[in-house]
This record gives sequence, C-alpha cells and structure tokens, in this order.
Amino acid sequence: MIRFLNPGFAWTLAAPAVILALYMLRRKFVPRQVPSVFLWQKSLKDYAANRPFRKLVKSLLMAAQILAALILALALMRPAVSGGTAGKTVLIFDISGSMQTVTAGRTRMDLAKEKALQQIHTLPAEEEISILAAGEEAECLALAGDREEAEKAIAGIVCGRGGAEIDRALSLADAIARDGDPATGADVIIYSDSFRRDRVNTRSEAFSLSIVNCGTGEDNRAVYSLEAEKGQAFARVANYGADCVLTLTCEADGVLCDARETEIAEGGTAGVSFSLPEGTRRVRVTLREKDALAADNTAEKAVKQGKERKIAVTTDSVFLESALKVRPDLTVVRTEEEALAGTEADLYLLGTSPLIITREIPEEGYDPATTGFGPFSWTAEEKTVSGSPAAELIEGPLTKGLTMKNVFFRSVRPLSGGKTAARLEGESVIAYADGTAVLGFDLHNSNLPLKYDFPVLIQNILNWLLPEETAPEGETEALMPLQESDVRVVAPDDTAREMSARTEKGQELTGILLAVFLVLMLIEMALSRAGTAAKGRGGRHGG
Amino acid sequence: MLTDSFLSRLDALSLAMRGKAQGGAGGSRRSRQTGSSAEFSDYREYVPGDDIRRLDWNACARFDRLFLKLYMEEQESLVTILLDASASMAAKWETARKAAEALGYLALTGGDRLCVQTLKNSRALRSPVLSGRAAFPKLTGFLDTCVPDGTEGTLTEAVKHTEGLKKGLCFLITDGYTGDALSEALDYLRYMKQETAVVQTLSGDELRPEMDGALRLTDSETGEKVDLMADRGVTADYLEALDAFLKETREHCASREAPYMLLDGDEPFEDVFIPLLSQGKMI
Repeated sequence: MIRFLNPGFAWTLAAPAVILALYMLRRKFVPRQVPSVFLWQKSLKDYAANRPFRKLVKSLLMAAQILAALILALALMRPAVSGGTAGKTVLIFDISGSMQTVTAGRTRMDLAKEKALQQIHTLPAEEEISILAAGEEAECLALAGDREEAEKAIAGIVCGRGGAEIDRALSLADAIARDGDPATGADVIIYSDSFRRDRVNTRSEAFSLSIVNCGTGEDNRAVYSLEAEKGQAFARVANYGADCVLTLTCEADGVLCDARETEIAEGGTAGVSFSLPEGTRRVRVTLREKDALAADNTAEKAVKQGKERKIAVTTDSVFLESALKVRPDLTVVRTEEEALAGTEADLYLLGTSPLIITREIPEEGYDPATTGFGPFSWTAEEKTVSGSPAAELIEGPLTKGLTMKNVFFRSVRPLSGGKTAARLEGESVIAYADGTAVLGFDLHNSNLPLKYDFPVLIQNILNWLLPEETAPEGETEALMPLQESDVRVVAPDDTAREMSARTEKGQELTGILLAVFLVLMLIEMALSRAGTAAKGRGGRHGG
Repeated sequence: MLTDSFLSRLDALSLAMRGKAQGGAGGSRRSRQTGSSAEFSDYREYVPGDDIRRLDWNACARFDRLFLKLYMEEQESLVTILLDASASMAAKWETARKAAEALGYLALTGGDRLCVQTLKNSRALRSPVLSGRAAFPKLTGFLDTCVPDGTEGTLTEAVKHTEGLKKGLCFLITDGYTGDALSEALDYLRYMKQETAVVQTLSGDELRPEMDGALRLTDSETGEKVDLMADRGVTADYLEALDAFLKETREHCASREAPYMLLDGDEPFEDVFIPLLSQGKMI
C-alpha cells in the first residue's frame, strides 16, 4: 500500500493540467511580414489558429513534459510503500538536554520527531510500535501500540536537562524484542544527536539497530558548574565554539550584583568568580551571549550556609536512599537499630512496616515489634489488600504534587492517630503529626518506589520535617551536565543506516521518482533540441 | 539595373503587336494609314494635287488612265507599361522593375513611344511619353523614383486611375493580388483599346513558402494579420490555393487574348525574361 508522507503537496498534481492548458492555449506567434495574406487566407479554411484554444495535436514533447510534471508532483508528496510483514519497531528518543539545541528555528527534538513520524508512516499498519524516551532514566511511552498511539506518544516527548541513558533504553528495547515470538525480533531506531554505535554496550541478536542523527554541529557556550558560599560565587564556563569573549552576569537573590567578561579559546574553559552581598541566599549566573543551546546558559545555586543536616537510616532501601539524596544539605548516616538512640541526627528513619520518619526518637530507642509510636498506632498483623484499589489523597503538606496513580499495595498496616495524608479503602496508610510521618506499609509490598510519586512524597516529608534553610524559595536549578552542554553532533558511524531505507518493512519512493523525473527531463531536452535542429535546417533551406 | 550585355541582346528583338498602330508619324509599325514606306498597299486613280512621283507609269501605259501607287504608312505605336507599385510588390520590386526596364527598352529601340505609369491610385506616378533609344536613361531615372508603397484600393481601381491611355500595347506588371478579379482590370484596358499583356511577378517565398511553427503573418499592403500554425499540411493547402490562383489568372488572360507570363523573382532575370517573352509571343 502506498502512503504519502507529504500529502500537502497534492496541489502540485495540477501541474500536468496547467501544461496541457498551455499546449491548448494559442501559442505566442512569431510575427512575419508577407507581401500578401491573400492566399494564406484562402488556404486556411477553418481559421483554427485564430481561436483562443487549438486542437490538441499528438506531441511526444508534451507527453514527456506532462509525465515529468506528474512524477515531480508525486515525488514532492513523498510516496512510500508500507509493505512486508508486520513486526516490532522500537523508536528510542534521546531526550538529553542537548536535544533542545536550536538550528534554523527548530530544536533537534523537533527534527527527531519529524523523522520518526515519517518513519512510522512507512511501517505496515499492523506493526507494533514502541516508543522509548532515554533521559537520565529510560521510560516507555508507548508499548507495542499502533501508529496512532505512537504518534501521540511522540507528540508528548519533552527534553530533559540531563544526559541520555541510551543503554538502559536499549535494554528495554531488547526485552520488548524478546517478548512474544523472539524469532520475529525488532527494529530499533535511535534518534539522537550524539550517540554512536561503537558506544553501545548492549549487544543483542533480538533487534537490529539503526541510528538517526538529528541536527548539525553548532557553537555553544555553557555555564557548567557553579559553587556559591558566603560572600562569593565561582562559575566555570566552557566554550564549544570558536574563540570568543563572554559576558557573565551574577544575580544575588534576583538582583544583579556583578558582571564579568572572560576570554575563552576554542574548546577551552574558564573560571569566573563573583562577589556576593552579605546574606545572599541564592545566586544565578547567566551568559549574555546567545548560542545554540539556551538551556545551559544559566546556572542557579543556593548559597551554602555552612550547616549540614543528617538523617540516620536503619533500613536498606536503594529507592529510599536515592530519594533522600535529592536534598543536597542532607547527609545519610547508616546505623543499626540498636545504636540508633546514640546517633545524633536531625532526622531518623525507623522500621520497614510501617516506615517511620521522625525528628526525635525515644531515649530507649525503637522496637520494630511495637505497634505504636508517638500518637500513632497500627495493627500487629499486616492486612492483605485484594484487587488494585486506588489510594485516596487528603490535601496537606505531605500530598503536594502527588497523584498516586497506578500505585498499588499488596498489604498494608492501617494506621490510627495523627493526620491522615492517604487512605486505602477507608483506612489511613500515610499519616503525620508532631514531627513524625508514618507510612503504613512495607515499601517492598507496593510499587510506590517505582513511581514518580515516591521521591515527591519523601521530599514532602523532608520539607515538612526539616524545612530547607538554604533554599527557601523554590528549587535550585540543576545545572546541565557537562556532556550535555556540548552540542557538537557526533555523526553516526558508517554502519549506521539513515532512516527510511528499510526495504523489508517499507520504502520511500521519492528517490526512485526523482530518478525517473531526471530521465524524463533528459528526454525532454533531447526532444527540444531535435525540434530546434529541425527548425534550423528548415530555415537554412528556405534562405 | 540591366547589364549592357542583356541590353545588347534586347537590341536584336522587337515587340510584337497584333493590331495596327495608331500613333504619330515616323514609327516602324504598320498602320492603317497609307504613306511612304516601301511596302505596297493599293492603287487609286490620280486626282489633281497628288504627288506625281507616285504615278504608276506602267499602269498608265496599259490602261491609259492615271493610277497612283499607294504604300503602307509605318507609324509609331504607344507602349504603356502599368507597373503595380502596391506594397505587396516590395518583395519582388527589383524583378518587376527590371521587367519594366527591359520592356521599355524594347519599346524605345523599336521606335515606339513609351509611357510608364505606376499603379497606386491617387499617388500614381506617370512618366512623360518617351521615344527613341536616347530616352532610356530617362526611363531608368523615372523608375528610380518609384517606390512600392501603395496601400489603397484594388488593382482595377488603380488601373482606372491611369491617364493618357491611347490605343496601343500595354504591359501590366503585377503580382495579381487584388481584392477584385483581375478580369475587371483587363476588361477596362481592353475597353481602352489596349493590347494587354500580363507579366505576373511573384517572389520565391510566395511560390515556394518555407514556414514552420506559430506565425503571425502581416499583410505588407493592408496590415491585415493571419495567425497560423504552419506545418506541412498548411503549406500544402497554400500551394493548392496558389495553383488555383495562377490558373484563374491564366484563364482570365486567355479569355481576353492577353498574353500571360509568370516571372519568378528567385530566378536570374536576364536568363529567363527573353524566353518568357518568346513563350508569350511578345517578341
């Protein structure tokens, strides 16, 4: 089945009609004086030439021109055959910060999306298309869906500010390829601006890999690190383009306080220090010169006030530790339950089911076998949850930004006492009061740690229990990683295929049509020359 | 225009005229008048006053009566050349002019009086009546002043505009493109007692057109325009129309006993003109 990737050019199909009309319209006549038109008038019985339209005569030249116009019109519409057997296609999008680089008014992500949409139109209708976003984590946006679903997923892709874990996405793609009939395999296409085949660590026979390079190399300058302490800030800038002089401005709590110029050679870096007014809590450094990637031209940092917070942790949970590390002023101190009472910390994290986060612990320590803590109490036995009931959130400091969508629990320990933050089937599962927050379930018995809601919930708890002193207003703007500030495009190696050349799944016919068009133009030129030569011979004979 | 060698060839020729001359004295054409030439005509009885030198003494002796010998009077004839000077003649003007020059030369060397008139209706030019070989430069001088730029009226109207036509020989040099029939002009000349011969002059482009493509033909005389897509078919149609036109012209001439000669502008004039006059029995 033939599909057109650029149906907007369908109006060009009218070109052959225009050529036909031009042939039918009276030609421009060459003036020639004759002694008398007496005999010519007698010979022209029907005066056909004096009519606005003339009878169409057979002309090879006209046929060649009409055919050429038709072929060109079809080529502009970019026809593609979507043939072959349906299979699996996985499109991986690099959503790293550098994909925001703007070239000719369009970001690399826009280009990647356009190329991907073109690609999926060449696929068979029954093709199972999966869309993966490779940011700092690999995320599946559409799994084995149809073309429409894939288009929706592609439309919703947004660039991040960090790097791209393409390998993780490839692992996911490998799993998708192996799902079902492994013999079918999958075609994996990576849309990236810096990915190279030789950097692939994931090797698999389950899929064939194509890399589509998006964008071109552009000049970029970046503020890639910023540190701020009392009285001063230090920024480090990198120049990925030609030699230049950069102007950096420094704002202290939103007020411009300093500006510096620095000269940086091509590919070099430079450090610039700024003086900060006393009492500055937040500092922002901005590059004034515009470049290809605006996202890395600004860095913002909370000024270190010299006070570190500690949280003592007894449980061993990777998810929990990752969520806690989001607070830069917080240091995680691992300890045993027995030694907990003797550990000095600003926060304590106790037990597993329920999980208790508190500012203070009893002097005698904490016994996991107990069924109460402070104003809270819970059942001795865990209650098994049947089905997949959704948790109900109650507005409060702990539920800011939470959705609890698709969060399920295998078993819970219903809580009583304190303020309820979340309920499951009418019973409190998250509660807080008096400097303590309690999660009435084991993290291992829920998929909450796998969801975005988990770090949000932990941050809400931390912010409620331990308000951040260094960044009272908003969040610190994370700097774009160094490798993502370098927007120079790495071309795919010679083994990488450009898109739309997949003969087994479909093929774009534009190239073939353009070749036919060129042949027709040559024929048209030959016919024109033959006609001119014939006229020339006639002229000489007459003279 | 004409070379001396061609003129010397014309010296040996004289224009033929079917009718009797009716011009002034001293010509070389036989007239209806009796006169003093060497050619015997008749006898009549002597009346007092007659020239006794013409008495036939032998007849007097035989019949005893006085008879006077009468001889043919040789008179000059008026040769009129009507030269079509319409704009359509521009393409073949040189040929037409040469024809007029050659015919004029024949008339002058043949002892005839010659008058050349251009056919341009109100703007027509008329030469003085010329006679004698010495007048030939005047003839060429007059022809030099003629320009083919007439754009008004038909050939018949132009012929009717001519002045001073007297019985004699008349050459009509034209391309024959006329809004009305050539027969009307011939009838008028016949009415004016002209022994007319037609020299139809056409250019090679008119006899053998080479046209191709989209053309807008403009009539040099009327300015009329005709658009055509010239190809072999159209050219064949033209040649067909040309044949019919020439045939019609010949028939008009034949029916009025007017010799007809077709002069091809592309052919060397000095090679073809004398044979053409011979074919038309004009010499």
